[in-house]
Amino acid sequence: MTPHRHTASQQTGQRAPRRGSLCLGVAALALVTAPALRAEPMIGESRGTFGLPGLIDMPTAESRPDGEIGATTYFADGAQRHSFAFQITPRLSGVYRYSSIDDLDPAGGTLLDRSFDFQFQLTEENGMRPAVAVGIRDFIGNGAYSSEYLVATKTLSPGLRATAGLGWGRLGSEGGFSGFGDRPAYDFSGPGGELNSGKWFRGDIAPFFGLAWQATDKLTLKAEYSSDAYEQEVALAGFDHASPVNLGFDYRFSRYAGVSGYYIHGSGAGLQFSVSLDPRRPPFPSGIEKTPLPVRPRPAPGADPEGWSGAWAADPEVLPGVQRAVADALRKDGQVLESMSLSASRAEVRVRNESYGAQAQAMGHTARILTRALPPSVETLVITNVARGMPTSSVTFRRSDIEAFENTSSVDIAQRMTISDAAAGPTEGLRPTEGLFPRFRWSLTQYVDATLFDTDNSLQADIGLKLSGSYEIQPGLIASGSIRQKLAGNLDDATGGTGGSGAVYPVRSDIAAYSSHDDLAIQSLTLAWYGRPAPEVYSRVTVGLLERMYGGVSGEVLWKPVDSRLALGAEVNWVRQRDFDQRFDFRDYDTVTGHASAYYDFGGGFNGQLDVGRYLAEDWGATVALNRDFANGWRVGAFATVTDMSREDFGDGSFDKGIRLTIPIAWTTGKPTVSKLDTTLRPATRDGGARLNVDGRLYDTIQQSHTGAIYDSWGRFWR
Amino acid sequence: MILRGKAGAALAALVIVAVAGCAGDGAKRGKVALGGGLLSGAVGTLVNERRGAGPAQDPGQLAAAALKSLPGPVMLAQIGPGAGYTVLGLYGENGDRRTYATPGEQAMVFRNGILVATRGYGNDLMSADPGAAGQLVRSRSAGSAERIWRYLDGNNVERPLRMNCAVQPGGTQAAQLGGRAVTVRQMNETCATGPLKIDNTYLVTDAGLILASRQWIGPGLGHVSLQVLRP
Repeated sequence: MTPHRHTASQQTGQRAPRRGSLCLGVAALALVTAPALRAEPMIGESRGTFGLPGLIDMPTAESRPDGEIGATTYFADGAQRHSFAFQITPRLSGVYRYSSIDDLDPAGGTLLDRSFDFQFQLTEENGMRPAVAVGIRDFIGNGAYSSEYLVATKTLSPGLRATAGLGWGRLGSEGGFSGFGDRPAYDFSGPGGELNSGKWFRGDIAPFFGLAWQATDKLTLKAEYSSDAYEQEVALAGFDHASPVNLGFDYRFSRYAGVSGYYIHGSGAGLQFSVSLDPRRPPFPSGIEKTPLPVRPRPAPGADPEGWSGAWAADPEVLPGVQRAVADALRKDGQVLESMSLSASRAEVRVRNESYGAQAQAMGHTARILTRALPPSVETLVITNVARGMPTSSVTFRRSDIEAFENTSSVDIAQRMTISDAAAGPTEGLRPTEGLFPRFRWSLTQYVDATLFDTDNSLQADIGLKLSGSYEIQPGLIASGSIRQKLAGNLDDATGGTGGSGAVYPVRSDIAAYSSHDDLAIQSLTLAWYGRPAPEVYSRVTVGLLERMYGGVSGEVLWKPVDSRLALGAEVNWVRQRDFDQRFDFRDYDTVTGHASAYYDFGGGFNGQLDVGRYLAEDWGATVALNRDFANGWRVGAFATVTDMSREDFGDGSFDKGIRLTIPIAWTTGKPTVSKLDTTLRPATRDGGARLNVDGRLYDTIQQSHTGAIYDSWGRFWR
Repeated sequence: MILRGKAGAALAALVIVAVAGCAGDGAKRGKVALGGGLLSGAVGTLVNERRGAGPAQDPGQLAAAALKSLPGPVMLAQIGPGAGYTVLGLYGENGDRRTYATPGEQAMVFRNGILVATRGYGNDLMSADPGAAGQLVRSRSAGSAERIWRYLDGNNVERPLRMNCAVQPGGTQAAQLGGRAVTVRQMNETCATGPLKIDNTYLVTDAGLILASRQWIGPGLGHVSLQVLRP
């Protein structure tokens, strides 16, 4: 949180911004407030047909701004590519792609493929030296796009960039020469999914090159000599590869969206749409929610000697009166006061934040409300954060600090507060807020379920309504459920992951049978109990219809000291498969599944998770997940699960893997809400490495109110 | 306003009044009716950007209505050229910091008349250290000062923006304050860092009151024009 110095102004070399010009003003601010970086990765504005910044089919050495998310959808004769790209670090880019290629499936018909790419920028552009990057395409998919490259890009004049590189694999197929070792012929008849590292940078090498000229702020023209001969397309699909030269343009409507058109292979046309979104650039960085209540400073001791004396603490009616007022003010603020204690010098409030993505902001509001309500002799303010009835962290302030530092630099107050484990503090004197429990809440929302390229060349989706309700009997004891009614859609046409060999029980792959029962399907109906059995320990027991495909009992314990980067957990479930109609009947499959888990916060927003245990199909193995979490609630993550199920039994793809994306609703609207959109993209739904989906897992429930996350968003304390 | 005197039930009752009143301190009380026309006087001289181009709304009538419906200190504000006018009433006071809020509960915080924070505008000024600039403006003297403005970036980190500012006195003019004629001096402040350069203007009375001003909020919001209707 140390304020950094702004960089020297000569670095900018730009025209001075006009007063009142918003865009230029913002650019100028970004320049003067950017941390002093040694050198910046070369940024490319327009994306190629594989989703990363590039020429057309050929890559460049460019990156996108750190953390940016992009999506492209490319249509050409006989092929489609739909790519999701993420700038994982300033130099490392990743892509997950759905593609379809006509007539390329060895079994006949269209090849539907999912693939992953990585590119790493080795050196940034500096003087005469070009930016250089190395990349691999399609390294664990079926191999249709399997290739590696080394590429250099140099700015020749402002707006004009030249790129040259060497390609292997598919990118070594046009005009190539012999390289090192042999590269087995490209074969996608197997289950795919192996890391074919033995093939990387082997076989023929071919050069490629091209130019990109930014003609105007919005228009870029491109030309390339492609080293991809489209050998398989020519051989199997009668593809006309008349020329290795491709031409194209890229037109950007705005910072977020663009369209590209291509003339490719001397024989065909291609069209591409691309969107880019930087999670770190929300439309409303500070939100548009109302101003919080301001601090009310205390009167001088002389003006209120009795209030300052603390003698009022002996009166049993003070706490109920104060508590009612605080609860009321918090409720209007979108928070819930669960309980409160009050003595002559100390007050503690246990508060559930139901509105603000940043816990620091919720606490800032609570602290200010307390200055307005508490008698003057109370100097110590303890705000205990509560999640699903579990006290997770206690943050202690001095009231004089809240008064002195209101609306000043957030660093000042950060240095004067302490965060501790809520379970370690005193609980005597805590008075539950009257009339809060039992607490009933419900909501009616719409839902969308979609699959892309499930079995054929199309998008299948359902939309409908979802009715959810929860009844909290006492803090942490919660009955909840949800019912869905489909309104329209074609998801029941999907046959769903039928790639299993039949050797294992279809624990997930008969998803289509569930999707086809869409009238008043009970998504879940559970009773859950959350608790704090010991300091640093959290627990959960959930019984009932846990998810749409399984019901049973789920138990979990988590060890997580409030300021620890490391957390350890264990979960055991006994579950039985639910019937396809998703009412109260069960099928004939039950099992015990569970995991031991370790979570680690690497810093910089990178969080890892390792789960080891037994999966739904009774296969044993481990899941590794790495997430990049943004303080504003965005999350981009990848996971992979390897179990003792054989590749043949698993089917196409060999092992389970995918991408997770979380989008906070408040980011898009600027209005406070803790709601988020969660999406998992996985190549296929298979039966190996399948986990139970139970709601309310402990780590995600408490992590937001522990030290790391509180500090990450501390800038919002006075917001 | 806060908890005086008596312990016990009376105290508890007072507490409730104090908190219940929080949301209604001044500004929230009345939604002010909007009208049409133009305000003469200080804001008129400062708001030189396309008057009347925005929503048909008369700052004069707005000000009169605000003075009638709001009991305490009141300001009139216009954020950005062509934008509508809004009134702000005193919402909270903490030492030398005063928080004013609009009927829609957006807020601006001032330290002796210098804008040091906004809330609820999407690209808020989170906090600011005016340094010596505030003192120079109020004492109507020339000088220079380092000022700091702080904004949230998209990842909830507070980013400081430092600028060097020069304050220069300008000419005097007549203005109205509460029906009384006063003489104000225009104070001009120019701040710069790198390619970024901004101007602030203040009309200051003999007593050091900033009666009207045009102050820079930040790169996202630009300037706000302000007039004190009741100090």
